[in-house]
Amino acid sequence: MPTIVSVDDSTVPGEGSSRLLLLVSSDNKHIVVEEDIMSRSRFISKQVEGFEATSQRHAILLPFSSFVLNKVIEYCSHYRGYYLLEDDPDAAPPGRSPVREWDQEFLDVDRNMLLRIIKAAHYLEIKSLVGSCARAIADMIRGKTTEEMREILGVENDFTPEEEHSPSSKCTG
Amino acid sequence: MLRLPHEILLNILEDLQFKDVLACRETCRRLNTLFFTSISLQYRVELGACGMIDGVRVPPHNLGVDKRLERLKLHQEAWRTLNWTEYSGINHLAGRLHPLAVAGTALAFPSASDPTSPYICQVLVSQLPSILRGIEDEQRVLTRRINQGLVRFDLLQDLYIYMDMPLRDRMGYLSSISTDEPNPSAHNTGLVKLPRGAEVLDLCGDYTLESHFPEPYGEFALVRNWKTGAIEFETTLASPVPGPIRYLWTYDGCFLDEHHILFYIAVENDESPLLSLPCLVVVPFGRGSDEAPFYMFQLPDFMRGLVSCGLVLPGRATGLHPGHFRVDPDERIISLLPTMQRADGASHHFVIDIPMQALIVRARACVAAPGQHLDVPWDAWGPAITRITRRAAPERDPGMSVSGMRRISVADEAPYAVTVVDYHPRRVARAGAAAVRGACVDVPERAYACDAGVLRTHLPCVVAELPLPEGPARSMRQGRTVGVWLCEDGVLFAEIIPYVRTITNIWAYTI
Repeated sequence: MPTIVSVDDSTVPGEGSSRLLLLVSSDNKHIVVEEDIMSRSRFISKQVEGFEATSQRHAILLPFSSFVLNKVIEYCSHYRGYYLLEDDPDAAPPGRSPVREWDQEFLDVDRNMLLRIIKAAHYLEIKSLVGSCARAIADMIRGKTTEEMREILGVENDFTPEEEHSPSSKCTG
Repeated sequence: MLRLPHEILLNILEDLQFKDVLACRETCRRLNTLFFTSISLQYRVELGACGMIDGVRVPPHNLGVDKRLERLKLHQEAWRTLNWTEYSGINHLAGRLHPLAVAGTALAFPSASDPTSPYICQVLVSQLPSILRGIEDEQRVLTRRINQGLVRFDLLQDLYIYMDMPLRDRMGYLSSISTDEPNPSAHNTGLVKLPRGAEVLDLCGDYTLESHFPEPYGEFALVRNWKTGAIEFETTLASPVPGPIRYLWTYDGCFLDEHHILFYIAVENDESPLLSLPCLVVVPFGRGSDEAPFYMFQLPDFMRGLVSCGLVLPGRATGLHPGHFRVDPDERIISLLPTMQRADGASHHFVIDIPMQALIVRARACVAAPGQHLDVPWDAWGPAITRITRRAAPERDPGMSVSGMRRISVADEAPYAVTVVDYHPRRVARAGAAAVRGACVDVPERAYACDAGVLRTHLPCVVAELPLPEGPARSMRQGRTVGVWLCEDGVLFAEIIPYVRTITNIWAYTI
């Protein structure tokens, strides 16, 4: 959980129809963003509900860098006002996340960045973004052999030779 | 990578095909352990290994995943050991013709022909019991007299679909590509009658159905649940239509409620007739429809490995017209036009991609890349199938129950279409799956129930010769022809009188 610090009300103008939020990234950058944009994030929504309950507004500290945060904000701004099924907490979750072309271009980044984005999206509880990222990662390893997957995933083969040659024993897990 | 939380890793695994899940599982202990923590993943892998897709011919969804997994394992075990239970619940078959349609464990027979035309008849739908899917056997006579050539089962089996053709002009067209002569006028807007004797064997494949919106609703696929009678439309599609769905049903259309119409469309283009995408589209109409989102569902197509999915297209959609779809056969994508303009000027268009398994097209044709080997079962099981194979396969006694696999090497001037005439979807799916990876599957001659196995998995390859049960064996000794249909949950034997091609007896062995 992030630490929530109290800030002076003047820092976060809370009046008017488009209220603003102050997000603080792990590299201590302050980013002001309209509440409306971030409402896609369940995490942020819950925070905002908390604000309203206590009628006190805080900056929200987030455990990832401003670079990643900006990327997530870009995503949320793009889909501002759009209904995405996965983000609807009342809808039944769809089996697989649908392909959205814009997302594919948006997520055309290197592997490390992709992993950071998915972590951030998971933290912020943006299901649609998690789904799109997971799909992008899945696309990277789809159709690869086990050996190639190890390389992409950066994992070591830690099975003993016996286990490797008797898959049935693995099946009993 | 492995520092990712479990839920994210599971999320990624959920997006993979079961083969990739299996390969992924073997990379390291953590992923292997993770695999066994998720029953839903195990279930999916088991489904994939069975050649099944979730939502289609699977254990009912009201069971928990663990129960479904257990049932699936029992089902697989029963196939391995051929541990069938005799079932002879199909009554009154004497004198019947061959089934009009067979899908999984449901069969349609014509009954009570109309005196005016042998093609107009009532239809008897017979459902075999299935332990896997938890359904009882059932028979129902559909009261409407319909053209028997238009009866289809969809792949979900629980729906039968027929297409009605009121003889009115300018209502779209209906064309068949399963006949020997291509229909020259199939692509104009006139209503084209099916040529005499044309066989309709596949809901999604053989027909292009076009309808114009918002013109008066012409030819639709009428979707109707034969089990419950008519009006409600039950589907396992994840429906993103919010709120309770009420169905009004009219003779020539299918209304979801007073603000939405359901279309069934299959998208095709001229250059690539093998590529078609069945979808249901829910289009808003009436007041405020310009702003309302519309919904599109891809129907699960088991043969091609398409899963059902819903797509919500945001507002400002204009009326939907099949002409708005563009098919790109090379990329295997279908785009939906027109592009939609957002208020800020950015434009969008929506793309539905067809996964690589789309190589298996319509279960009867495979397209392979140059230099690939394709193993396809080539002999026909059922009489209904042989009619479509006239061009490709030698004429055979329709009741002959011999099957084999023929290895086909695809020449370099690919893509080369190979006709697959085996009915059994699991086998076709598996042959297709092997072909996708350029591999070979060998199944001996005279294998009745065979399971080509799936490469790169540890699931055993099962090849079994099915002993003829006592009833069919006696018929054989009496010189009768015995027809065999493999269905998902068992096998059907039918005693057929040659020449008149009439079934006198039928035995069903189910799991």
